Amino acid sequence: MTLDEISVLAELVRRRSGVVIDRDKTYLIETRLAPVARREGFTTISELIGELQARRNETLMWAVAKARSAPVRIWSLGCSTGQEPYSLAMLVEEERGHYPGLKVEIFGGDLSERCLEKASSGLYTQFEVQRGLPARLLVKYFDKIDDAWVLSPRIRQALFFHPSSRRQAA
Amino acid sequence: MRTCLVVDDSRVIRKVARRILEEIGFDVAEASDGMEALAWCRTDMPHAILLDWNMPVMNGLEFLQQLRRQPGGDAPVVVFCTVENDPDHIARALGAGAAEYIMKPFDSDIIESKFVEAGLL
Repeated sequence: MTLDEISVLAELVRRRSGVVIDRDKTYLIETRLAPVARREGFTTISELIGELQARRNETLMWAVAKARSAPVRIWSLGCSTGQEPYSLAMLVEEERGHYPGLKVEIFGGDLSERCLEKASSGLYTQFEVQRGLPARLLVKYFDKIDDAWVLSPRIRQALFFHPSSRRQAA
Repeated sequence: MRTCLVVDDSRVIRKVARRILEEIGFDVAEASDGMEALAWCRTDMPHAILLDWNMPVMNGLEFLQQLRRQPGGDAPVVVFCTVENDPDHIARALGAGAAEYIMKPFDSDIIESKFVEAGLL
């Protein structure tokens, strides 16, 4: 695994579970993921990571095609400050032309209510909108308000945010 | 190795960009305005161009428009890198044939992410 891949995975684990993997504990990733990679028919963990990144959007659109007229509900768990559910909402919007009558509801859930608050605001800094978001989609789906970028209402209305922790506590 | 031409009138920005681009595997050439960049492209068309907007002599947008009229000038993948950060500038850059757009200030993560979006990595 490259250092980049290790930091991608460590960041993913941190965001999803709050578990911080120290640099000197990267063997944890190796030992846990190597059997998974082998089971799924990949020779290395790197191959598995590449496949996962390439497959997310494909899998979503496959589900959409299967659903036909039924609404598709997507649950983005551990959505942190909302980048993933909003990306999915933009992807759906981009593909809408191919699927007339498509109904998609996207739910974002996270343990951190502070993250969810930021997610539902749809507000991002200039720094944030430049990571993993094509400029073409930025100008198409965001408005600029002072120094911040805010997602347009047509994207935000497809999303619901849910504090997963509060429900478990109740 | 693939070449990226860095076009910016600030020597400091060119130096920072060079370091980042070399780290992600590019040979780097430098130009300090659009005219100089055109001269470079006429001799040796680069694979990628990291392009500032506001420069003396010839600005980035004029350069891009002229570049696309040169023989072989539709080949380079152009990524803007400028302080201009309003949607109108971004839309104009994309309309003129830029593949991606970076708003300064930038860091290595942003350059890398944008080069991935542009299909360069």
